[in-house]
Amino acid sequence: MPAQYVDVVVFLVLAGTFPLITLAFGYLLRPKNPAPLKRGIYECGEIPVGEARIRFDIRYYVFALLFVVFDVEAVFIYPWGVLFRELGWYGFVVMMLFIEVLVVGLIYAYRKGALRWA
Amino acid sequence: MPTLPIVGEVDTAVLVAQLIFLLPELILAVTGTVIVAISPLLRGRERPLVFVAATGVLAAFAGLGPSVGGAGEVLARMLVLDGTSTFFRPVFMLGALIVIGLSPDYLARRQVPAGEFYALVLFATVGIMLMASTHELLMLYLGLELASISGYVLAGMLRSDARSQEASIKLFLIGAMGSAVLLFGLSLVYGITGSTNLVEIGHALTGGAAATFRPALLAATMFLVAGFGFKMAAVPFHMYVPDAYEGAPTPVAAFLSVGLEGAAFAAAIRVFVTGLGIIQPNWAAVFAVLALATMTLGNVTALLQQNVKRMMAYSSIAQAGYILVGLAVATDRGISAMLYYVLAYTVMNLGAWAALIYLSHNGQSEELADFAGLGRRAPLVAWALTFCFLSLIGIPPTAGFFGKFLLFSAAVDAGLFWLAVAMAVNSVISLGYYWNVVRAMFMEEPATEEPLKASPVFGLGFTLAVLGTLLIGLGAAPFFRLVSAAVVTLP
Amino acid sequence: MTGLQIAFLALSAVMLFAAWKVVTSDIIVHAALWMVLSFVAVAGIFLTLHAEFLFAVQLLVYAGAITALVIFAIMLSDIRELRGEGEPAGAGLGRRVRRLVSRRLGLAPAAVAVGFAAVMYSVYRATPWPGLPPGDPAPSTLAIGRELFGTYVVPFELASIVLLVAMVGAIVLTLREGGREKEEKRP
Repeated sequence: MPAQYVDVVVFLVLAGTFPLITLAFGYLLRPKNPAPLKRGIYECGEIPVGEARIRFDIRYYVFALLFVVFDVEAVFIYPWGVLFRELGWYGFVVMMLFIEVLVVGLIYAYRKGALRWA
Repeated sequence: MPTLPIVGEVDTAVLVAQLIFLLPELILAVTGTVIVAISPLLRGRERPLVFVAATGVLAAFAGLGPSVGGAGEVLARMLVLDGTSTFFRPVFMLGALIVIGLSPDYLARRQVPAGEFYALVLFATVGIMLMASTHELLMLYLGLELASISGYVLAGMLRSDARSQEASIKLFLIGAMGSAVLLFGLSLVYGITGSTNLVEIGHALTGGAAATFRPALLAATMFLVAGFGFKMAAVPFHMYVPDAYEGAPTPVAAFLSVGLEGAAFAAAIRVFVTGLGIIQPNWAAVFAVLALATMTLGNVTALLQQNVKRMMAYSSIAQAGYILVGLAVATDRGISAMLYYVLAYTVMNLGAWAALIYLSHNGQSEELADFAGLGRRAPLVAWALTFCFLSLIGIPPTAGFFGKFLLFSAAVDAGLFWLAVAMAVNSVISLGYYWNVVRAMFMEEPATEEPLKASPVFGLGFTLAVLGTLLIGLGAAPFFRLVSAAVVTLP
Repeated sequence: MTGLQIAFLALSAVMLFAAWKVVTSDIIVHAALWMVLSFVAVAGIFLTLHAEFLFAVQLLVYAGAITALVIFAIMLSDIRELRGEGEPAGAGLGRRVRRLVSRRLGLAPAAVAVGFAAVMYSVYRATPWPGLPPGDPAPSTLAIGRELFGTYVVPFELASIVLLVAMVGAIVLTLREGGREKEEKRP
C-alpha cells in the first residue's frame, strides 16, 4: 500500500483510542450508584411502550430505494465533476440525459403520491 | 455548434454520429419514458396508451433502416451490426408488438396498471435487443439486467393475487442467482483474456492460449452454461419456470417465454460461438445433454398438467430444449436453424398464449375444463389455437415444422443422430397434451353457450401471431436465406 | 509477506467470517449488520488493490444505501415471522444430530461450500494466469471518468434506464391503491 496510507492508519488508531480513553476516565472518576430505572431503555424521558420490533410503513421502502438510486447517481457524478472541463458540453449533455431519466422517475413517484405521508 | 471532445480513446463526434444505429432502442426507451411520465396523469384512462406503445414499436421498426446491411462494431464497440443483430432486433420487436396488442383487455379486467405495464415491456425489449446485438460483455449484462428486472416487476403486477407475488419473488431470487453465476463466469473469462469484447476474447484464446488456461476456461464455461441455463429455462435450471409463468399475468408469461428466453439464446450464441468458439467441443457436448434433458422433461411433465397455463410453461421448457439442439450442433447450419426456430417460436408460442389471454379476459380461468366447447363458443380462436399447437408440435406446413426440420437435419448432419431421434420422439409425446386441449375445445360440451368477446386491438395482435406462424411456414424460403445470411461463423 | 498482503488476508478473513455470520444468524437484523461488516471488508480489499474509486463506491452504495434498503425491508415485514429455525430443540446427542442434518446449520451446506472452494482453488492453482490486463494498474478517478464517458458512455446511459425501472417497479409493487386517489384534485 502506498505510503500515504500510513497517515490514515495513524488517524484510525488515534480515532479508535480516543473514545476508549475518555470512557476509561469516566469509569474511574464517576460515582457508582446503580438503580433499576437507569438500566431501562432511554426514550427522551418517556417510559417506553411496547416492543421496538414493530412493522413499519411500506413507504419507507420507496424512500430507501429512491435513496439508493440517487446515491448511485451521485457516484457517477463524481468522476464527471473531475472531468467537467475536459468533457465540456458533450459531458454536460451526457450527464443531463442520465439525470433526466431519473427525474422522470422522481416525477412519476411524486405524481403517484409515493412521496406523500398524509 | 461546439466541437466534440476526444474522451480517452473515443472520438465523441463519431460516437454521436453513430447514434443513428441505436435508433430502434432509443425510440423504444423514449416511448417507455414518456409513458412513465404521463401515465400517472391519465388516472384510470390508461387504455389509449396501448396505441402509444404500439406506435413506439412501429417507429422503432422504421428506425432499423440505417442499421440494415450492417456496419460491424459501432458506438465505441458497444453495438455490433451484423446478420445476427439484424435478424434478432426485429424478431424481438415483433414479439413485443404482439404482446402489447394482446394485453389491453386483460389489463383492464385484472386491474393491472397499464401504463407501467407497457413501459416495462418496452424497456425489457430494449434490454433483450441489446443482449442480441453486442460483443461487449458489459452491455450484454446490462441488457440482461434491464430485461430481467422489468420481468420481475411485470410478474408481480397482479397486486391482489398471492400467486403473482410468488411468481415475482421466484423469478427475482432465481434470476438474481442466475445472473450472479453468469457474472462469475464472465469475470473468469475476463481474467483469462483481459478483455470484455467477445471478438477480442476469441482472438486471445487462439494460438494455444485455450490449452494453457484450460482449467479456468472450463470452469468459466460451466458457470456460463449454468447462468444462461437459468435464463433459457433449461433443465435442470427450470424449477422456477412453471410457478413463475402460472402466477404471472398471462401476457407477461407470454412475453417472458418468448422475449427473455429468446434473448438468452441470442446472447449465448454470441458468447459461446464468437467468444469461446475454440473450445466448442467442450460446451457443445454439455448443450447436447441439456437439450435432451430439457425437451424430454418438459414434454413428459406437460402431459401431467391440468392447468393449461402450467402446461404452456412446461411446453415452453420443451421448446427451449429443441432450440438448444442448435447450440449442441454448433455448426453454421445448426445456428441458422436455431435462429429460424426462435423466430417461429416467437409467433407460434405467442399465438398459443393469446388464446389463454383471451379466455382469461373473458373471466374464465385457465383450467383444462374451461376450454370445453370453445370450438362452439369462439370458433375462430379455437381453430387458431389448434393451428398454433400444430406448429408447436411440428406438423407441416407450419413454421414449427420447418424449424424442427432444420434443427433435425442439422443434428443428423453433425452426427448427433441420437439427438435427432430424441427430437422426433419428443414431438410425438407433445402431441398428447396439445391434443387434450384440442379435444376439450371441439369434443366436449361447453358449460354455457354464451359467446366470448375480444376487442379489435386484441384481434390484431392475435392475427399478427397466427398469420406470422402461417407465413413463416408457407413462405419459408426467404426466411431460410435470411437466417443463413445471419449466422455468426465459427472460427 | 508484505504489509499489503497481510492486510489483504486479514480483510478477506473478516469478509468470510462476516459472510458466514450473515447466513447463520438467527435474528435477521443481525444478519443485515454482519452484511455491513462484510461490505466494509470488501471495500478494504478494493483499497489494498489500489481501487480507490471502487472503495468509495462500495462504502457509499453498498455499506450505505443498500444496507439502509435492506434494513427498511426488514422493518416492513413482521419481524417475528422472520426468525430463523433457531438451534434445534432438545438436548444431548439428539440435538447434535439434528443440528448436523439441518439444512442451514448442518453439514450439507458446509460440505457444498468447502467443496466449491476446493474446486475453485484447484482451478486457480492449475491456471497460469496472465499478467494484469493492459492499462493503468491503479487507475485514477480521472481515468475511470474517461472510460465511463468515452468508451462506456452507452452502457452508462443504459444504467439510467435500469435505475428508472427499479424506481417504477418499487412504486408499482409497494404502493397502496389508496395512494393514488388523493392525486385527483391536483390541477
